[in-house]
Amino acid sequence: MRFAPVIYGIGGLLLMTQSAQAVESMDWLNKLSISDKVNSQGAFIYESNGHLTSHHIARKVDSNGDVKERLYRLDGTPYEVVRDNNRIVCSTSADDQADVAKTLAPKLKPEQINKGYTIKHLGESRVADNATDVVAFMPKDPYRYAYEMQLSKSTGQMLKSTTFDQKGNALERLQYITYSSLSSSAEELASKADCAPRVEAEEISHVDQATWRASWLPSGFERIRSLKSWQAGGEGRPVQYLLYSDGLSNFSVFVDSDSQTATADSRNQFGPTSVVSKRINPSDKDVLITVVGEIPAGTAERIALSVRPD
Amino acid sequence: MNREALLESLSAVMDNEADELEVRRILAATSEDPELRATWSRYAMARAVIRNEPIMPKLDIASAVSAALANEEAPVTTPAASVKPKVSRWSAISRVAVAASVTVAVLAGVRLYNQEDATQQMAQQAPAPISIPQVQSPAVLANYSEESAQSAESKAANSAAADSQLPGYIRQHAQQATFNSVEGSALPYARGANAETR
Repeated sequence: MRFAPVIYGIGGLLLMTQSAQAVESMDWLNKLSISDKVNSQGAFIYESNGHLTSHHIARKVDSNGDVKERLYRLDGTPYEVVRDNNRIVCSTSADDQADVAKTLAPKLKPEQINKGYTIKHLGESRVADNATDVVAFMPKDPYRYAYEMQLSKSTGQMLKSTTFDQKGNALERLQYITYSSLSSSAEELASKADCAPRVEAEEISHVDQATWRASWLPSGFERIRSLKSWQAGGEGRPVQYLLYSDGLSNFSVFVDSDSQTATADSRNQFGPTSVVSKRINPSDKDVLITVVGEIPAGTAERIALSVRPD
Repeated sequence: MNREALLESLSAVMDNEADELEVRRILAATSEDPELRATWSRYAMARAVIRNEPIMPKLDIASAVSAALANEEAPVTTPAASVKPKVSRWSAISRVAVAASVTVAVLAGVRLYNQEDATQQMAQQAPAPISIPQVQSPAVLANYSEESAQSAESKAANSAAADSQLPGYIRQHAQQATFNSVEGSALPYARGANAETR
């Protein structure tokens, strides 16, 4: 609650300085968008839903721009993800179900963020012994969360991020404790043996059933992926998978067009992640629509209700 | 009706398994039998202790339930139904659990005053060895400060168990979103790592 006055105050200031700000926001977005093209090494902590975990990151960018990156959890059950440019090399998974896809969805252009958020420089600070700029991403509508990020002045790398709901409550925090832009060794980038290669799902073009889409989206959200997926219950029936993004927040839509489970509609919240399931009966079969994403539960619910056959 | 059968019906009422007829019978019996009424209160208290639920020793459940039934033609739409939709939905599957939802309605007010306890319990379930500083940190409290968020939390286990697909969906979403944000931040990855241990 104590963040709310700050947020409203920022909102007021923004209205007064809109034109100068449009130029400024593109500067921040450009800075952000090239930040994953620099070498990066460090450790960060992540807090969400009352859990605190620590992680290591190694990212190497060679002279022709190829990126290798490895993220690894340092406490609890080992968990790691290794990527090579836009391909996920391997990731730890709790089960052996096929993953939806091993290639990354195309990234949105930085301008996309401008559609959903007002961007404002709040000041300067320091994180992990690096000078930072504090930048706020204020949602332009009530359909998404607000973010406050601290970006390294030298590389643009996000070193601290806090996600706020509409009431100003912090939902999750990520903060680096060590960070440098030194090059990582091959050893630091190598995956461990239990990092399983990904098995790719079929693209939606191979699906011979009706495809689905969300007929209502908050402005700035775009569909960036549409796939036939594995069947979550392990029965081999395909579930359609859609991924939407506004550049900062993502949500997924799962459409199980012949749902066999007797699950009632449900609505859950895990830290910043909302999970809403809705059952509809357009024909003789039950269709279960599940929306999962870092968006307010009300937004997820409205999206779930808007999902229709294409 | 003998005493044993009455007590059996009382158990059924408390376990959410009584039909409407049984509920009326119990209510009729308790209205003229103070001992049975005391037994009901004792049952309720014992149950609350076992389940770590809020206790209200002076609450006369029988008369509260009677009053609520008299005032409410359709108990499914009592405040309880809106506060805890899961409870009414699940119980409606087999037999009409009128008294249970009304009892929940009566207790719903109590529940709100016990949010702090609930927060404490949830924090203690977290694997963190030092839970007290976390409870006091605003970040953790923020997760529970909203009534809706809190009831969602408490419902989570319920529906997740009922729907085995949900954890898989959450995991897939997290993995798909990894590396996918414009700024190349580690945020989606960290959410994924969290989903993996959930």
